[in-house]
Amino acid sequence: MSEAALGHDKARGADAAPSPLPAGLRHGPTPAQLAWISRRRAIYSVIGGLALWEFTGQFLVTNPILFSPLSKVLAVGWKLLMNGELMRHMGVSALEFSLGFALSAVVGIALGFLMATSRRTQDILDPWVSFFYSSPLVALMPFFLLIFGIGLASKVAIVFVIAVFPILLNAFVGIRSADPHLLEVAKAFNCSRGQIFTKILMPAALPFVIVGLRLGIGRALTGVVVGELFASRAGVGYLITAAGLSFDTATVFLGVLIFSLMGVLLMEGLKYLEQRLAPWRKSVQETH
Amino acid sequence: MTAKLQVSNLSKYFLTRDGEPRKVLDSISLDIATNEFVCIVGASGCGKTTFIRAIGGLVPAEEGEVRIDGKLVEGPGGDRGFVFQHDSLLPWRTVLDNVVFGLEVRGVKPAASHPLAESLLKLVGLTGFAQHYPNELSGGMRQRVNLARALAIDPDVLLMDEPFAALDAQTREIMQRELLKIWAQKRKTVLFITHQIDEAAYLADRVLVFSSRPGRVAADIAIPFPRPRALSLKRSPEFLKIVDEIWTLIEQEVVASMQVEPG
Repeated sequence: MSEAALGHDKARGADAAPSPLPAGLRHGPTPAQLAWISRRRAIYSVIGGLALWEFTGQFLVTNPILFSPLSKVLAVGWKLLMNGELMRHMGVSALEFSLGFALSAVVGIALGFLMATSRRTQDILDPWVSFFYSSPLVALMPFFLLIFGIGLASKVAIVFVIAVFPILLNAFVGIRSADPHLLEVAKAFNCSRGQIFTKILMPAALPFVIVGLRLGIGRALTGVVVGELFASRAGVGYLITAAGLSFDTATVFLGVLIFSLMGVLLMEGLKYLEQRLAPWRKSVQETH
Repeated sequence: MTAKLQVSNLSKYFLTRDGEPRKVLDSISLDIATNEFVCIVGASGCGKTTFIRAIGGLVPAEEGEVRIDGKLVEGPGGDRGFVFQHDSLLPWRTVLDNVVFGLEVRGVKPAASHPLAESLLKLVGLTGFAQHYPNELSGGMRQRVNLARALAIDPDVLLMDEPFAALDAQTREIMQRELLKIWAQKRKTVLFITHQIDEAAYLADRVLVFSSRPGRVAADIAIPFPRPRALSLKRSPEFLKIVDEIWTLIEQEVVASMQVEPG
């Protein structure tokens, strides 16, 4: 503790003359240095992984059907980007994702909050939520194709049903895990029911809601892929299917890479959102 | 002198697991004068916390009534400010936003509530901490915010439920002195619950001793020391004599409460 504190002070007062340390007291790395060390390891790991990918494709598995090196995947990506194909497919997938995910977020949070605040709603919905949460809902895709057709609607439907349940459950748990002490404070200060909800329950549930949205993003992406793999005329999932059928492994890899990057990007966006919406949680990390 | 807070024949029951009613407060009556500081001490489980919660309207009392300035009160209200024992600040609000909570709930605009909160933060010695979050503060500082929040609604009666119980011994002593200083400035009627006899004797004009199961007022002891009181008062023989007197009164209760069967 004292060692870390000493190191910290020195890092701040860089222009101050270094005071002589007692013998036996050594500077450990500062928290900032430790963070940089961790980040550097992660960067090396990614670079190493990409190099291994390229090396494997160039020298170990040279059959283009079985594997494709990074450089070739990027070249295909560049070609598709230039002729506008890539943007068209990504646009279609992004639209399916956005509509389905937005719908599941709105419905999931609303139902989760409703279930957590109304005993009756909970009693009625609980068996259904448990049932659907644990069933492999991707199996509904053929059914959605029959009802909604091959276009946008069936994809939005599958994204919605598989993303909505983790969002709903986390919103529910978030409200339920609000500290009873804080509810007592609300009571002592004569809060109305609406005020209890907006001033106590909602902020208390926020971190849980964010976790639900994070899980929902992963599942919504899966929904897009599954929807497009089943039957579609466009989208990154369609790109992957079509490329697979014509033994174009580089394009398959490209499609998967795009989905992965989209996932990473969305998670980072959510992390940023959490820091904006819940700054008190960030200050926990900063203070200990 | 007319009573500020008047409690008459207040009784409270809980239902046991078998559905049997059990009396936890037995027709308690007391009058607290305007600006009087009254402490209630008692063994754990004597119902003192239940009593103050009933006064605050957090739990209903089945029998009896509570009046403030002669007016019957039911349920929580702005005439009583509650300072909680546990950490009851909203973690997602800054210190300033915690202090204005009670005002915000009543629809007071920030333009009016913020200057008031700033002055209260100055009063409790937290100038410069307005934009901090509760988890950045020590336990003692959090209880200062807790007090400022209760004072912000300018209540007639301040209800304090073991507010310093979770603090370490030194911080607790400092907080006791600070509380008296604030009380001298704000002139509030205070009902203060504690299990620490020296805390009660140091703070109060009057100490009520609760007996256990069901809770009853067993003794009403006037504390004669002049104010302002220095912390060194606690080491004077007169003070120790009163502490000893109160301790004798509740000793059997405390011993009994340690031997009670569960349920």
